[in-house]
Amino acid sequence: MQNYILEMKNIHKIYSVNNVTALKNATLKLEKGKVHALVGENGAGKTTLMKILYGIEKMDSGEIMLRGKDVKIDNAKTAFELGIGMVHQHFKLIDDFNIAENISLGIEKKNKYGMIEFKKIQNEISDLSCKSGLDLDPCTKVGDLSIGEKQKVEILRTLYRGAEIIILDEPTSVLTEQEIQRLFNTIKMLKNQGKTIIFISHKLEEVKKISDQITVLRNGETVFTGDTARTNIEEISRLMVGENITFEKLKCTDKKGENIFSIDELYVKDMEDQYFKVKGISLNIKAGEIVGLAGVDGNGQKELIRAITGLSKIEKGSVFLNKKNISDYSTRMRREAGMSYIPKDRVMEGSSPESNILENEISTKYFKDDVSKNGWINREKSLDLTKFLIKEYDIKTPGINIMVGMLSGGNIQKVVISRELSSEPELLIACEPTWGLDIRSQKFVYDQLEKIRNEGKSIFLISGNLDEIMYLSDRILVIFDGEIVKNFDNHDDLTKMEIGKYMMGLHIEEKPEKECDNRCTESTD
Amino acid sequence: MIGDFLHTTIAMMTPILWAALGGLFTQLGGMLNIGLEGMMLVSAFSSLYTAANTGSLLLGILVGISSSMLLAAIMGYVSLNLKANVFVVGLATNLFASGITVFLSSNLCGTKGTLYFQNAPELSEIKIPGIENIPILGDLLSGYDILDYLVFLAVIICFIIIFKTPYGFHLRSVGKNYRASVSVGISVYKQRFGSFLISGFFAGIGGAALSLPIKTFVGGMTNGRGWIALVAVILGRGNPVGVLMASIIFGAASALSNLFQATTDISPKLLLTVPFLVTLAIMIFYSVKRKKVNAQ
Amino acid sequence: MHRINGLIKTAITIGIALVIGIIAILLTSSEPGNSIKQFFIGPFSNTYFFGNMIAASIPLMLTGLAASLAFSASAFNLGLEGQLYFGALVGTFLAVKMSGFPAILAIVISIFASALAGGIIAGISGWLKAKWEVNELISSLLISYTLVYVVDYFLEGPFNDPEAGMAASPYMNSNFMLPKILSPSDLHAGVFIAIAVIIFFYFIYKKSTVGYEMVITGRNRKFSNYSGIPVKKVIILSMCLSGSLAGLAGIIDNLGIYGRMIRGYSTGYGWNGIAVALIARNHPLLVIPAALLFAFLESGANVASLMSDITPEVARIIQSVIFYLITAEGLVSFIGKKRREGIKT
Repeated sequence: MQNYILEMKNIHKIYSVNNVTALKNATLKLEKGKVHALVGENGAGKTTLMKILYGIEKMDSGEIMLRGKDVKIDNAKTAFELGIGMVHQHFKLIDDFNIAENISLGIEKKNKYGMIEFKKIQNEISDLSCKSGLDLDPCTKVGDLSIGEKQKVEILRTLYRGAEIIILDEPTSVLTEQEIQRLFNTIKMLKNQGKTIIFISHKLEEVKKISDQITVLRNGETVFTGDTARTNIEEISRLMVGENITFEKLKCTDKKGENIFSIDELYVKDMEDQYFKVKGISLNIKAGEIVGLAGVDGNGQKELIRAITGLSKIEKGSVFLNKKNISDYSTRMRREAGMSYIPKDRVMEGSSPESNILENEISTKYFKDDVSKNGWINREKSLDLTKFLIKEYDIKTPGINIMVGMLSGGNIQKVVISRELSSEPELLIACEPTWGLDIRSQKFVYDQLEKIRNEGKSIFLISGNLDEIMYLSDRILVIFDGEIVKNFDNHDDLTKMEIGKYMMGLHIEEKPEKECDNRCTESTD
Repeated sequence: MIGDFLHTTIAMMTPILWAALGGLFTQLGGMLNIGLEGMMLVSAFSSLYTAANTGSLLLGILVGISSSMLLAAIMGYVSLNLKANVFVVGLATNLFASGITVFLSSNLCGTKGTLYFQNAPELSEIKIPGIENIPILGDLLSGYDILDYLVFLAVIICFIIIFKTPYGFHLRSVGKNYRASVSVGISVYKQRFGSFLISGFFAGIGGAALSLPIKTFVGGMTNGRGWIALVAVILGRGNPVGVLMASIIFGAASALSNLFQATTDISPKLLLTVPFLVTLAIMIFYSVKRKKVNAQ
Repeated sequence: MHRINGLIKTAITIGIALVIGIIAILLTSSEPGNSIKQFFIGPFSNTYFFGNMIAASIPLMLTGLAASLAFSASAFNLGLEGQLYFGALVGTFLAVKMSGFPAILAIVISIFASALAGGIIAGISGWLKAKWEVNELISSLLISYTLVYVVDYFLEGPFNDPEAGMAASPYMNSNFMLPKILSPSDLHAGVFIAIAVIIFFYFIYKKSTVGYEMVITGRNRKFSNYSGIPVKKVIILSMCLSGSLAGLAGIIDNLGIYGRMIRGYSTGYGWNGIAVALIARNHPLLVIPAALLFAFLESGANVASLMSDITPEVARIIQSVIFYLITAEGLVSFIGKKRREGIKT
């Protein structure tokens, strides 16, 4: 009998909202001081299992043993009192609070009058941050941090709360190659300090690199557990997916045409209209070309896209589509001029979840002769159009009157894509088009993009997933701090490392390692 | 002259500021409390009725606070437990308050019209010894009633609660990002329900500050003050001192309208619009200043 | 499924509200049996009460429609009361001044002027929202408070009928009055206008591109912006339409019942219109039964106060309970849970 620090046995969970079985017979056993990888496809139940461990979700049956004792974890508070900490995929941080406030939230030190001792907390945290090697100034506002730094704050928070077991939920999905390296260093350090790490991922190369043990979940079931060193990637991959779908890099076409889309010295301010987020960007895209935009989140991608699509004001510079200057056009006029847009947030921006498929499909053309006349919508025509698109794009739905919010993520994306492509655009702007989709839906999206590229359309692809960018693009632009800092031709020996260097802004200068002195320079409030 | 104006300003400001301090807490928890108007109204009636019948101001104020907090608790229960839309529940609170006060005044006092309690205890002006006799300064600082003085103290206490205590810290975190708060074990429900109760507490004092000084209750006497308090909350940007500033402006606008009534021939009805127009103007000014690029 | 759920919720809400109303009557009436009987049966006991009840529902149908129109575009028009009151003043003023005009022309002008006035007022809030993000809920409300004073000023001063002995305007030419139905009750031909307007807007809402824009914008503004729907225009337009319906609701009583404008004649039509819209869940046709329900509560309480000894404010308490619970998502599951627990024990 081996000695495990944590055992989760035969965990069952059915979501009552949609009757989906998230977990059946899931089992996870952790050894102390090891990095344990939990792998599986999207929807395999990794996150659900961890939410149960962290007390955010309740299991229907099963047992959790911590250091050999049965425990019941009802909420996050119990979890961290038991020494379990979690770094969520979407960080649970408050941008308006500083690091110290975020870390101490919920467990503040009070003086005898019941007042919070922020000074004392700040000192404790800066000590801890030096000791643990997570170099952070506790007085920095979290909203000003990069993604990688926010992740550090989350890790530091689990340490401050005395976590012995730290769950990292898809920690690399938001990081650049360089940041991933740093994260791995942090993980190794934590391991050396005796912490147990659960590392959730679906990227097997990373798992191979960092983990000691591995557990594979498929459709809510544990299908494999073993030492990482003794497994091979192909086998794990088959266990994970159940079937083989592989992506091969798209071949560049030679039939590139004229410039369809160009931007000239574009300047855009942030949403609060305070400072510039896009600082003089120029680019052009030819017919039949996919141009990928790589960059760390928050470097001006959002503002650039909003300005191109007419959702934000352009401060300076111009946008041309088909040689027409469309800088002053409204969103509708830009769409009429041949622009389509697949937004990052397909549920809240790309669709109206409370509306049915028909209402979603006609949102960009309800005023056109295709579907309406003299201000009255033609029911038959719009119905025909919707039926056609459902068939053409293979949208899986129980009926045409189903609310789009009831569909699966992949099918919602199909609704979005079918609408955007059915207007036969000259230029398609695609933002994170496969984010959170399962592998089959991902394939569908890639095929669609390839198809319209081969038809001679232009595509501007914005994605945080470098694999995706490298797989699809003819050219790759790198955005950093509101500027295009590099234009790569996507040839075969281009590496992620190389692109990552520009994404991080490391091409400018190597930042010298700062000395660890995080005493607050200014007081808060 | 300046002394008079300041006194009217403070007198007009006090009920609004009390209510706005209440609204501040729900606002920090991430909700706009539309029910302030109703809470004030119920307390205006119950505090005066109790004070007149028991002869005790303190008891009156306490009953006023309790009735307002009861309304706040109902609002919290219906919106948080039964998950009703908090705006609509706020409107319901106002409608209920306007109904129940007339209903009670008709059943308890036999009239729906103006209630004047001759023998209600006086909320007397406090002369501060020492300061009272200093020329000008005495005129400016002395001679307000207890609720006027206390409200300034309340601003300081609110400041401490909000920025220095765990309760305020947690409440602010809930308002800014409740998911983050839940993930560290803070109960959004408890924080928000608590903020409703606090809101009821302060709005209750606000209502008492409306009826007790004049010993009079009329149906609908809050007359939009709860809404003006709400605007003060928005303009105050989560800070009690900001709320105080905004409330002073509204108090001054009302005092100005009073001053014109006394000194000019302009119709009093038209002058009554001044506080609302000033509030609207400030609201617009505030919005123009922080105008966002896009409409969302 | 969720439509049935909604119906059950509405029924439970109304049930709870009535129970609370009955309790209030039991506590305050010396002859509760008679009071309750009068409350429920009274409005149907003769054509006079019945006609008055229907008449009372007319402005509520229009304000209810006004509110649901704005709400379905996610524009929170809380200024219905002021828009209604101001619209009524403008329409009545013109009707009084057009004394020599042919009746039909005067009526049409007066109605359109009221709608226009209400529409402009609400449109200001919509414009402020579109232009500077000024919270329309608060701006419409503050403007509404202001207008009530302004209108009162006119009724007491420049536009007062000295012979009235109260704050009221002069009478308009009696030919301008809408034809009566069920005399001697207050019911008038305005009921047909209201129903026609509701049906018209039902088609706009369901079939037109404008209706589509409003609904989609109301459900998800971000999506509308993204799709290229002119969101700002939609918000201003829906506020305008909402305000003009409120203005119409304002003039209809003056043309149908009073023949002039009396200060404070609106017994909370604006606020109750919001509740009516919520009960109808913003569906234009359902506004009709919802308005009838509110008119019934009002009339029942009035009849019971005449025939027995209750305070008519009972109606307001019942209405506010409906208001409290109508959006409560948890109501059905709450009651369901209690029942299940009850079976277990």
